[in-house]
Amino acid sequence: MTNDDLQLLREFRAVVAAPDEATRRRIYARATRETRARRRRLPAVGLAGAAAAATVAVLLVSPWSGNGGLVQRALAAVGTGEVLHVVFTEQPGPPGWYDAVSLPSGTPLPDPTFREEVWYDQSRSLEKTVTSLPDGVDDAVFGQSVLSPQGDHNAAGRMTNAITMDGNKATPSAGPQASLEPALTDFVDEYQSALASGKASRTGAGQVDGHEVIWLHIAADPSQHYPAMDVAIDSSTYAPVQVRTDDADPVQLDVSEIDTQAYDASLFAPPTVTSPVSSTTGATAPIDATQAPGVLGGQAVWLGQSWNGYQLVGVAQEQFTDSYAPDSGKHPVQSVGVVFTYAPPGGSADSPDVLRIEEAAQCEFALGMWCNGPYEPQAGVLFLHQPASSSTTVVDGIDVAISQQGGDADPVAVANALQPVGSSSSSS
Amino acid sequence: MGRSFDETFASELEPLHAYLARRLGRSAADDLAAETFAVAYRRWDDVDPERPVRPWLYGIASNLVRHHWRKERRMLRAYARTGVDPVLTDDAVSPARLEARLERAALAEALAELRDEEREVLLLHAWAELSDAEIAESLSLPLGTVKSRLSRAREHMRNRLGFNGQVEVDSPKTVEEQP
Repeated sequence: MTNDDLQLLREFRAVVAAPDEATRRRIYARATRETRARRRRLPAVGLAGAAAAATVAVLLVSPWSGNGGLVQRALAAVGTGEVLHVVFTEQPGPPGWYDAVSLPSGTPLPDPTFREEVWYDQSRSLEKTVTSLPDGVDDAVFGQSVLSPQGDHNAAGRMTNAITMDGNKATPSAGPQASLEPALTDFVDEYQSALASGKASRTGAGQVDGHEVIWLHIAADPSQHYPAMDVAIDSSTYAPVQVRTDDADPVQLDVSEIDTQAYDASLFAPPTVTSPVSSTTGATAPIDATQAPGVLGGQAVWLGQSWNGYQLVGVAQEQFTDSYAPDSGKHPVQSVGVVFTYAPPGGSADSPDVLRIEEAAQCEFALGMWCNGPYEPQAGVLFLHQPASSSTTVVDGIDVAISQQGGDADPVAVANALQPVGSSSSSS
Repeated sequence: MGRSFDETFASELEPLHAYLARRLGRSAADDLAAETFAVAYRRWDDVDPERPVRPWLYGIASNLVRHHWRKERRMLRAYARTGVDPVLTDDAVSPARLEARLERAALAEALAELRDEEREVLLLHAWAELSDAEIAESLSLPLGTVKSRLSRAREHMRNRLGFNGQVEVDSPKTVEEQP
């Protein structure tokens, strides 16, 4: 029996075995793969028409000349410009912690389909990705990123994967980020070189979405951690129309356009900063429930004085602050919201089992909302997402975040029970 | 001259992997450790050699782990309910081991009850052994916020685990009855 919480925690960690040598080697290889691949490519920088020249050279000496006609056509279908341009759609699923259900039923909703447009300049190590909703009209583009040797940028500013770098300081990016599935990056990165190096082999023919296709199999490259891929190429145009990875976490993408273009520096300019790099909730001030609509511009929703065994134990005004990347020139933006706190009988706002209804007149990053694209809170849809068992929706025009600790209140039931302040004093 | 990436990888992989494995399981730890070092490798030229690299590394890892908070909470709850550690496969059931398992199950439940942000700070302190200032740097938080979160988290753990930290575990039933 221990008498110190930290000692107990450290014993809890100590039972974990260290990674073995094979695991160490595997992690090291994965960690350095992408950058090694970039560095490997860098000597080609500066050679005019490097990609095209290399392709032609390999074609002339490659050992798979018996298959060359097909491969040559596949390469020719892509073109020989310096910038590979690919458009494809995918259904990547929610970003790890979002599940959408319909209100009031709680029925799960299908994942949206994304349209990804990628420009990739291998010789300059540049990649731009624009993510949009294929059928969207307004705000169809909701994510952009530009990756370059000088830094990676997205709508929140300079970033590295999920973080923004400031010296040695890592800052989470709160905004949406365009990021390719690794397997898709592998395709963009690998397709041409796999063809040129002879790793592609014809495996059969078939149909994909009405296209007569030839299936190519591209072997995995364990040294670079590229998965094996099956690529369907149109039997008339020889352009790829579908890619499927052949690994433990298979991905399928449908290619609608693929070609190559001339290099244009403006294409890879960092995107305009539109998303905050951090969002915080500031000090709260207690208010009366009847003041809540005024704070939010005329409307607020709540569960009444009591709901399903919970009682209202506090109402407060919150202040949100969105901060932007230092080099963006954008000043912090402040706004206000309201939080209704419910607890079991006898509890308080500090009880371990509390239910919070946080509200704002508009989407707020600080409330864990995704304020752009398909996961932006909307009426009739509840996004169940983590952390802290929080969920977001829009009720009567108010953006609402429902969160709880320790309790087991059904967020769908909570969302359905929300009603305008003043319409009723209590329910159930 | 600062340390090389390879030196840092050699010295930091094991504690980082243990930290991640304890939080999310060994398979996820492999992925997240690789992703953490991939980011570090790519940004190695940005590292200030005058500053310690560990807070930076754990800052990267924390931003990756936050996408898995739901899984972490589920794992902790499952561990608390069953007493079976998802990270271990060879925990033999001797009386002493059983007591330790029950003790750790209660600890898992207490961790699951914490707010995610508080658990993050507590585990960076207890497992990554970062100082308050280093945690503040890792998570880009004010030092006062780190201190208050850590204080609340430890208070919760002490209260939950029993007076003066004495873990109150009498029988397997006690653990199984926890939510």
